[in-house]
Amino acid sequence: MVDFLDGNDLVVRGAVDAGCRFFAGYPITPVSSLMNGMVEALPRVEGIAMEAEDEIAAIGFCIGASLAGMKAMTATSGPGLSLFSENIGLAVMVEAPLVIVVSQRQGPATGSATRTAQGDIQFIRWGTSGGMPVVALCPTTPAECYTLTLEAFHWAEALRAPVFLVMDRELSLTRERVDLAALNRPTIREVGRRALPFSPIGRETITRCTTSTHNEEGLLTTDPAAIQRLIDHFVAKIEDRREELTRIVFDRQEGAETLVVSYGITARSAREAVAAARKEGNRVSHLLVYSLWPVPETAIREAARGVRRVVVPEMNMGQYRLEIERIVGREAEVAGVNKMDTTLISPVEIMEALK
Amino acid sequence: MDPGSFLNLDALPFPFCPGCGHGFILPRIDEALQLVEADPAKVVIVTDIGCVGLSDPYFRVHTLHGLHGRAVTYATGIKLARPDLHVLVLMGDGGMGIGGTHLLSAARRNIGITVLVFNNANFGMTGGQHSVTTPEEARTATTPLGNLETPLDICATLAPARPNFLARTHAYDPGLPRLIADGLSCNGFALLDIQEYCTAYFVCRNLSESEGLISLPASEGAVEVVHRDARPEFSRAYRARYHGAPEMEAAIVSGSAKGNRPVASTTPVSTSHFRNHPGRRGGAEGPVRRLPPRPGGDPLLPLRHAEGRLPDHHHDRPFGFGDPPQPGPHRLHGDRRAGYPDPPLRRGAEAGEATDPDHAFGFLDLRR
Repeated sequence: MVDFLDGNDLVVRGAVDAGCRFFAGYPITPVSSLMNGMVEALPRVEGIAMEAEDEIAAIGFCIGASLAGMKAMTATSGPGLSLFSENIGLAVMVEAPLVIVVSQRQGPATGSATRTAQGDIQFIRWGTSGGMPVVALCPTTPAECYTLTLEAFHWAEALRAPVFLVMDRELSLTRERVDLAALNRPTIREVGRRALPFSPIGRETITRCTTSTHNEEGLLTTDPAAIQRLIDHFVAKIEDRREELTRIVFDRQEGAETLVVSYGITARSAREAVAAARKEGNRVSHLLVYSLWPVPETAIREAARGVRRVVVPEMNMGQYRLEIERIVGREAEVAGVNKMDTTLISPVEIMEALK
Repeated sequence: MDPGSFLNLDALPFPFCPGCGHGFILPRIDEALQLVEADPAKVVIVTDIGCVGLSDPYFRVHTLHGLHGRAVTYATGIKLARPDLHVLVLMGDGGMGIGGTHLLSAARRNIGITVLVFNNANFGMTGGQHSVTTPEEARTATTPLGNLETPLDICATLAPARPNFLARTHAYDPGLPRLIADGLSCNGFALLDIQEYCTAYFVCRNLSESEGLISLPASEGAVEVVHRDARPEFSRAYRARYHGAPEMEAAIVSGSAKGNRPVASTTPVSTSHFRNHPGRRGGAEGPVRRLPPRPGGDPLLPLRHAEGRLPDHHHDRPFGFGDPPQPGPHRLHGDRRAGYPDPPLRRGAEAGEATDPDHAFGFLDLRR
């Protein structure tokens, strides 16, 4: 059945199908309709959907509900992500499974509240104190919003960690034809196999959670060895799964001299640009990154092997390009196609950089 | 171990300064939990930041120690998920100040959590800075020549929000366990403003004479239940209203959850829930201000459409500031700008052919 839906609609469907039964949010463009959708959908499956008094409360409700055993999700944009910041750290610290949808709009501050951007890519990675790794998945179409929402829940549960679903205004609010019967539903078997144990608050086993550095019993500790063990655990549970978490599509062309690395809504322009450039006789490969964080380093290194130039189009002033430069900057020239004028990067603009 | 105690007696003594009120209050919480015959596995203590945030390991119940001022939000989430649990919040006057909006909203919702404010009128853990409850003229690290601000009376502030239980008391009140138990049993939002001393900072700066020391709790008002109500508890009221409601079923046409459509209601929206609050202490009573009658037909039609103007609290502003901003237009990319063709929705056969199988990712196939 082909329907006419936007990314927010598909996140709602994905969340419900993933078993999400708790949502709390605060109205903000471009995810207000996502919250409205959860308010309509969750009561029908005996879930809870709350409009909180602010974003701090929204994520606080979610952390509480998550620790009490419900699969929880919240959604916001840049200004709300700023208010989430401290509680993202808490979710990391108490290892609360949580899906955080960030649909980007033009910042800084209120910015162009109804216009699109990709300006929060590094903010999502480094958005809380302490610098612990996070997982962030970035779809390019409404149908992928569905699939990656399911994945986000699986990883949040398996890793006991906040997982970001990175969108933008255009993906959130632009309706497209979506074949609901053809939606891609990932299985959970591979994730579930090595999920971290979790005993929710309110069951027979007494559970202790704390925002402070703590030992294995959940008790506050100032012992440097115990604190280092805790930090190593936060890092290892994500870094050790870097390959498992890699979600990419590599469209390789034999003998390519140029590689385009793209993500999110801009990847769709990149795909057009690569196809057009090939028609003109250019040899171009295209790496589409769905798993922004942790950075799929192996895939990027392999994709860039032999190319002279790497082009990274993004609607910011070069945030993900920093990662590409870090990984392959010694072997190839890394160039960006960047703008923040609230309009999408067109295939033509990317093609200019491929000549 | 005392079989009936909720305290983790092995962990004693408490870590507080000599004479600190916190050490007086924690055993009273234990007694209150025994009074209501709580099951330890169904009790959650959520602590805020500050000296009171050291309390959770001393209880053998579920505990969550969260961020400064936000304990009420975690407690709300837990209660929403598990209405059958006793959820207690232990916070100081500092957390009460920084998280004031959460307290107001929790009280309005009447969410079934019991908040104990350990009110020692300053920030003890960080060196005795003034807080929202520091008395006028009191000397603290940040009001060295006397406090110029008026202290917040939390019970009076929350009373107009009509939670089920608000009480003002102090750490040495022999009736404290009973009062906490009343809060736990009120089946709604409960808050106890518990006055106490910070001996490390507040007492030595302000109350060097024993007379002043003794008089402080009394000066803050006698022990009293400031407000009682019997409104439905939110987590249960939500389930009763929304779960299995036919209106919610009707809101979504099968196969197209649009997310923006108002829920059609067959019953008129109640107009009695807007009240004038006279602002007097405990002033939850007051004349009910009713909205003007709605136009017939759609009860959800915005008021301003009825009379061409906003409700009278906006009467000094004429209706119409130009067209209100519209939510993002729902259109295809192809409409947006020249040179930007319709994106391929089910693209990828040709991309798939060129894809290196080594990089096809696991069990997911996003190329479809």
